[in-house]
Amino acid sequence: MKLLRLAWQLSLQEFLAYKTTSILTFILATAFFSVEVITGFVYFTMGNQLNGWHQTDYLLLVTTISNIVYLYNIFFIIGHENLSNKILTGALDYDLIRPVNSYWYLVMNRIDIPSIINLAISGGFSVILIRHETLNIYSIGLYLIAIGLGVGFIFLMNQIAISLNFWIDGFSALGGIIENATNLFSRPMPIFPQVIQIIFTFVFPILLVTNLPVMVFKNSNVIFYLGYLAILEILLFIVSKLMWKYGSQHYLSAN
Amino acid sequence: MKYLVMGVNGLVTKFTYRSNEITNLITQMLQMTISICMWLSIYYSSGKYTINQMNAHQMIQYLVITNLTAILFSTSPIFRFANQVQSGQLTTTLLRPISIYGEHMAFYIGTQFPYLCINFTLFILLSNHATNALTFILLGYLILAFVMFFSLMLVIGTLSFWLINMWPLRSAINACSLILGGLYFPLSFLGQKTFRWLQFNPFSLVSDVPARVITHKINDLSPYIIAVVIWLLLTMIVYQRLIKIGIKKYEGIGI
Repeated sequence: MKLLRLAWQLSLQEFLAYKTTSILTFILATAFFSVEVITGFVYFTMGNQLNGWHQTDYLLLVTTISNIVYLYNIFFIIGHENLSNKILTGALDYDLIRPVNSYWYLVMNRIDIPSIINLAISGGFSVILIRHETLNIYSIGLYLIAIGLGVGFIFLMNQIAISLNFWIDGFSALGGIIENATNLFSRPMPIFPQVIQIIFTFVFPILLVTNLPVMVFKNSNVIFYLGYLAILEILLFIVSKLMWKYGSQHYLSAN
Repeated sequence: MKYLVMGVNGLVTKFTYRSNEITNLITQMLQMTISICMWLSIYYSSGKYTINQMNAHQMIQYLVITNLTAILFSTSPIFRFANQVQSGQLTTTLLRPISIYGEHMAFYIGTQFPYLCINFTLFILLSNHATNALTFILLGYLILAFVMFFSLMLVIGTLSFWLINMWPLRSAINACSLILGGLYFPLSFLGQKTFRWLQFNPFSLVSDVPARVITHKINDLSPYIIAVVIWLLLTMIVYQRLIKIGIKKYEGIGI
């Protein structure tokens, strides 16, 4: 907790020190979000629904995914970006000898402040959009849980991908795979062929992660999916912990 | 001759880091497939044969071309240049009797050479115009656009003299090419008024225009050739300017 507060203070100072860069970061990061919204308008100008999905559902889908991504960015992105660098250049030593849990310390030692502003924007959007859905406390609760699970999934997959750097060298696209997959699969599930739907729901559930928050308002057996995702994430967490343990044993540096 | 060596260097680098390249290609192909899936379900659920004077077949052709040209027009010069500035490697180039522009250009052609070949063959195969002249003009246009796009990327790259973080730019430029390049939907779907002026921006010139030539929406390329030449001159002038100011700010020790 104390460490988190320290991370927050350091991040705030860095944010203020590099003001122009930070402001630019914020403006440019909204670009992708606006693209998705514009595309949403274009997709729905002809017919007003698509396999049971209306325009508001679609817009809610893309804003919710932005919420998930920004939440991940706030807490983990800077840590993850530095982490793969540190592993490859051998600068991990200083962090490994600290008397803290190195797994959590390394990923949470900075907070990305521009993303907080981004989150405020996309969060505001989703509040407006969500009012068009059938609302009750139960569904809102499930919606928030689905977002939480989404952030967890993206974090864990990235953590695992970055831990692979302990063994593989020169595969820099590795860090971007999850981000790309999230962007690619930010489309309503019914547009995909059945096989793809099943693969990306059960084997590599990225489609489930992106669609689940909106499915909460449409689908009845969403509890099953939420449970499935939760169990999967516990497994992934164990895997990432093990990879961290063996990876840091495998790690060598010339420092 | 020395530039040829640099070009070959680029090509070799490309083949050395195969896994990165394959990941990029798979991502791009997936994006294309998903766009096509999305549009097919829009055609299917709206029950119309043509949307905005485009039938499903033309739509698929359009999306295939825009997505394949997107691979050719890569943003890599920005990050290569930024990396050189920030790590101080630019000094090596400055000390040698070669131009920075030429060095980057040769390297870029080298890395993109396989895609140049692929795109050329594709264009020759797909364009079934009555006259072969248009196909040749299209190929010439593509080369011109390639140089123009490269200059633009280098101009953006010179911003690294002033900016610390370049990664947010990546998502902003991706967003531009997604919308303006027509990767998600044909540019003309934004409405005639916006479209009339928007079609002359660099991102649309490199992918939307060739795609419209192939789908028989354009028969006269001359306004677009003029636009490309204007952009080319403009970016070259701005580049000369920026590099002159930027190089004074450059310290050569890395930021």
